[in-house]
Amino acid sequence: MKDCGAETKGLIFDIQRYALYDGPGIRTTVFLKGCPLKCSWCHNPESQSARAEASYFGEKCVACGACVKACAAGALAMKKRAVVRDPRKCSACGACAAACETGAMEIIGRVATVAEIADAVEADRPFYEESGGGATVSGGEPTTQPDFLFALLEEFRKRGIHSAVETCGAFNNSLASRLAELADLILFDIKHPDPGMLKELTGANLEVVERNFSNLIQLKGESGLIARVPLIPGANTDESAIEGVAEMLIRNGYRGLIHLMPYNSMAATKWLKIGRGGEYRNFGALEEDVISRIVNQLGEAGFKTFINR
Amino acid sequence: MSRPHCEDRIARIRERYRTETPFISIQRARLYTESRRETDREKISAGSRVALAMKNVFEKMDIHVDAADRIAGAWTENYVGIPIDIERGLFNQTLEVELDAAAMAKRKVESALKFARFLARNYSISDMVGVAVSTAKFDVPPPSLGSSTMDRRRVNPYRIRSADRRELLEDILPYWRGKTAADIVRRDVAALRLCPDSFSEFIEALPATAREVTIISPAAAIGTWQGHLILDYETAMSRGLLAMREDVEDRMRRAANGPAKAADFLTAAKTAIDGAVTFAERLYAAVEAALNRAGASGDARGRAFLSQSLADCRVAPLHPARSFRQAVQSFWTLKNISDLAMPFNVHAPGRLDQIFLPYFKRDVERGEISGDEAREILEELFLKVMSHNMRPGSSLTAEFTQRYEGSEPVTLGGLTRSGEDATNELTYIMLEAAERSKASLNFVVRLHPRSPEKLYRETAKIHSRCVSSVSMMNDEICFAAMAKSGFSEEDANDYAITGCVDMAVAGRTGGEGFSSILLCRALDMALRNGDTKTAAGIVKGAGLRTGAPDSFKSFEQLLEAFFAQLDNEIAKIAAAARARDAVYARILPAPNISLFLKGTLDSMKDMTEGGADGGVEGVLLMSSVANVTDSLFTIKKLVFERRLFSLSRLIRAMDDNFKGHRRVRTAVLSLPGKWGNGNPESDDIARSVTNHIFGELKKHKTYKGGFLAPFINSMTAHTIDGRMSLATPDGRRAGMPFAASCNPYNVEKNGPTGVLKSIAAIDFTEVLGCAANIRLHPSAIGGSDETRDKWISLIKTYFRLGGEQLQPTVASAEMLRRAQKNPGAHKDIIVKVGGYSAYFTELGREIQNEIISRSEHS
Repeated sequence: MKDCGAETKGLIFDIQRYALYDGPGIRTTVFLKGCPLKCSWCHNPESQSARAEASYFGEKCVACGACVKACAAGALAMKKRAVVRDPRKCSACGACAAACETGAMEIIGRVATVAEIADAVEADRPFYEESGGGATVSGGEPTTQPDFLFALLEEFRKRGIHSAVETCGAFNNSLASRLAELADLILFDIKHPDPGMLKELTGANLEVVERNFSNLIQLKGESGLIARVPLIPGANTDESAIEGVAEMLIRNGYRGLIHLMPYNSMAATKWLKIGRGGEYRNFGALEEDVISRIVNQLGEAGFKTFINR
Repeated sequence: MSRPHCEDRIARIRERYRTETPFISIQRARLYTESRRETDREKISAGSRVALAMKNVFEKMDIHVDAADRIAGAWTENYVGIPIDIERGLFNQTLEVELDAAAMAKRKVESALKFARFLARNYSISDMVGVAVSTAKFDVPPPSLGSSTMDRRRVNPYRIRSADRRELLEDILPYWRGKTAADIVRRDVAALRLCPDSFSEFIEALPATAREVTIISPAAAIGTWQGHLILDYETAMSRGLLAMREDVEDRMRRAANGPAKAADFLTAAKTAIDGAVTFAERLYAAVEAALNRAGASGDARGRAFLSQSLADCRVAPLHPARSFRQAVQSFWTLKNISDLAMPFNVHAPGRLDQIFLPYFKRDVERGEISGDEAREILEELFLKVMSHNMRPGSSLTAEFTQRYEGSEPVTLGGLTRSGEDATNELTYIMLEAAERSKASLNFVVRLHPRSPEKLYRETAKIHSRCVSSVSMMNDEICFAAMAKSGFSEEDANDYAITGCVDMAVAGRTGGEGFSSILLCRALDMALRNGDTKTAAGIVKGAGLRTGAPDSFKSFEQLLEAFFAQLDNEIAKIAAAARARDAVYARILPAPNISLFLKGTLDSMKDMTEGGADGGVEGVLLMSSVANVTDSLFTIKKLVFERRLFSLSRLIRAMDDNFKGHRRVRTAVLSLPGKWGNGNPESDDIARSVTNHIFGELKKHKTYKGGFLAPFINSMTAHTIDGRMSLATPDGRRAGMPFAASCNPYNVEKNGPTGVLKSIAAIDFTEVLGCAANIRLHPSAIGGSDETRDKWISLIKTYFRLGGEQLQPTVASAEMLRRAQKNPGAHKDIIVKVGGYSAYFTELGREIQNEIISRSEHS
């Protein structure tokens, strides 16, 4: 029998407190694992896979070999004072992380119940009350675990905790009405306004994304949705892309605030840790004058902007 | 005058204070001793002897005046120098041993011999082998005296002219041997026999030379000195020294036929104020002479400064100050007088934004000063106050300290005595001066629910710009704590911070003493049935025999044993502090300080006799709330609840520094929910341990009739004591620092909210001062008003939950570089860039470097 309500289980990989950029006030952000997109600038590459995975941070490793001994599957080997993992043999069972004294080996992703998460979120209630904050569900893409997401949002509402959901918009259109009903605020990412470019950069289908945007803005109104644009140098910061974003927002009736999220290369370590360092693409520094040009351009199109940094 | 010009001037003053090697200035010691020798056979009171000796200093010392200064005068004959408190003698032995390479070598041999004798007398061969084996398992060596003399050492060196060195070593110091307050405190405290003889031998065998603290047990020490107060500068400034002298004379006439003790006090007070007047007059003359000298040379700016100073010094502090500049000059001269009379005593400036306000307002109304000019003068003042915050400490501890200890904070904001919001224009000017001067001096912003939002925002802005010298106090909790300690509502409204974090009322709180109790050592005594182990060996029978480790049937029984050890240590502290205070009242009264305290003239009693008020003995909880809480929590969960191993097994692992005890250590380290993560279970332990101590302290009285009050502030003791301590049950390894002050130790990656919730679980309405520190990168405060408002909400929530104090250390590039070298000690620095959030030490080297460059640019 499937668990329901507060006992619903899902796969998360982190809970971050005192989140500053995930909605109003001080927030606790719950990160769900699994994402349909494959953005090469991804800040949370460990969120992409829908399964638990092992992570290894060479700079913390003292090459003691405890993890190699602990691995029953024989997936680990020590080479030049560093641990090498054979992903085909690794089932992310966690034996290596348990054996590791320095924290170099970690397992990313754990199953948690809605009640457990809500309790953890509840712990910071005094901070939400003072700041007008609450809980934010992020990812990955939270809608990849729809039952879990909705049960979480229901639980937050039951407990009187303001909720926000961060989404890339790439989900089955049938989920939109339930999402609008349960989330107090939607933070909707628009990564590129051109269908071809969006597909190439992220793998998403713009038609699906835009329909979800359109539905959600109708259901939530401007007080219940914030459009957000990650600024990736050279990928979506050119004038025509920004113009396209403004057009897309306008044609769907959105005239509200736009959150701009400047790219940074902080995530490079994370890609390395999960053994996918080769897939990370550094987009380079985002110049200040590019940001101000974008702010001006959107301002001329009638949009107020806020820079998340 | 153009602005860059001013900035240059302040920058040059800062550079001098920061980079010039300070002189050990011996004139005070020489002149004080000269007078003492003359009065050795005279039948005069101890107070008068002190006042006469200081009067001799004020009459004859060279007064330093620098033409680049707008505030005239220094406290010694050198621009960057420290006097010697020769009669109190906190550093006499340090100077005697560490200014002389041969004496240093001799001292090391002597202490090694004493130590060998101590071992031979108290230990069997197998004990000695045991000590050697466990010390060998340390990753860091115990502190050592080293072989460089004070002028050659790498950290915090001091220089001395060679004739001065000879005079000091051959003439002055020998005279004082056995006569200083430090010597007599040590003798009188030893006579109380608070610890077994073997422990006294052990202490004698340590290579320590400084006498700032007197160790009374492996788990307790008392400060050898009484200090920590805020003088009533306000009255002195507004009335002038000459009017104060008339008050003393008037009181003498009225009390002509009174008791002898009162007459003694008044005679001493009269001599003391004569000395102060003399110093002020001589400063005026010194400025005049400097001006005459400058007359010939071409430096117009220096001449302009000096003639302005001359006009100011003609009035201040002899007569009532009439302008902002005169008020500042008056304050500085009075501070030099009192700091020289009692060096290293910590006379914090108090509420400068209140004291200077009437003068500033008057000048602004008359158009005589601009905000910028006031700020520039304050920048100079802050740097000057900073410069008094150094001590000629021993090489043994030099590496744990910094040059300026910042322990004379300036208090800003808060309420007026009548309960109105006291924030004003000067509050903001001083915050700006704090940032621009880069003085390593602490600034305390008092916050309450009616503080203007602007004050919160300006404070947050300063923090977001990497300034870590500004702390915040929660007025509401402070008021509650002061009310419980018997302060009136007006006095509570008027509190300021002295020492590092101690609440005091200017002119009323008279000379707090400070003791410390080492919490983890007391726990060690409970775990070892009254014995305790340190890096230097076992001390047997140091505590009470509270039971063998495996005789405890429940966690509660162990807790009871721990409490019994704590109570025993607190009783020792109370007895030793009373003995110390009696020494000061008997041989070293403080007439020069008592002058500037309210109530002494009415009671006709010296401060050391409780003339100002009851006086507080502050008991510092050290080494530390976090480690002792986590140790108890670990024992509760793993030994008594999950029964993973026995207590004696855990103790063996501690003895071996956890080496070869992987299973125990892994279980200890992986136990979740230690203090600092908002876990109610460990928070409860912290609360019940601290509450027990608070309750026990109330049972004791000080010599002056005051009370023992808890302070949660470890200064640098958590590192020094850490170096001397074996591994602790919470998984901390031997020799490693304990958590500082109120800070948690085993923080999981939960961010600041859990940390603040756990800290706020302590009942701070019982605590008269504490330090809570969180470390973050400026990105965690953010650059926009929106994110800064979230940061402000974080602080407001912490205050609402019962937090008393918070000092954010905002990671500078320099700190982050240290974190790269030593990630273990910097696990807690949070970085937030956009939506990205991480702990600094979790990042790869390249990314770390990028973040460092961000700090440099902010």
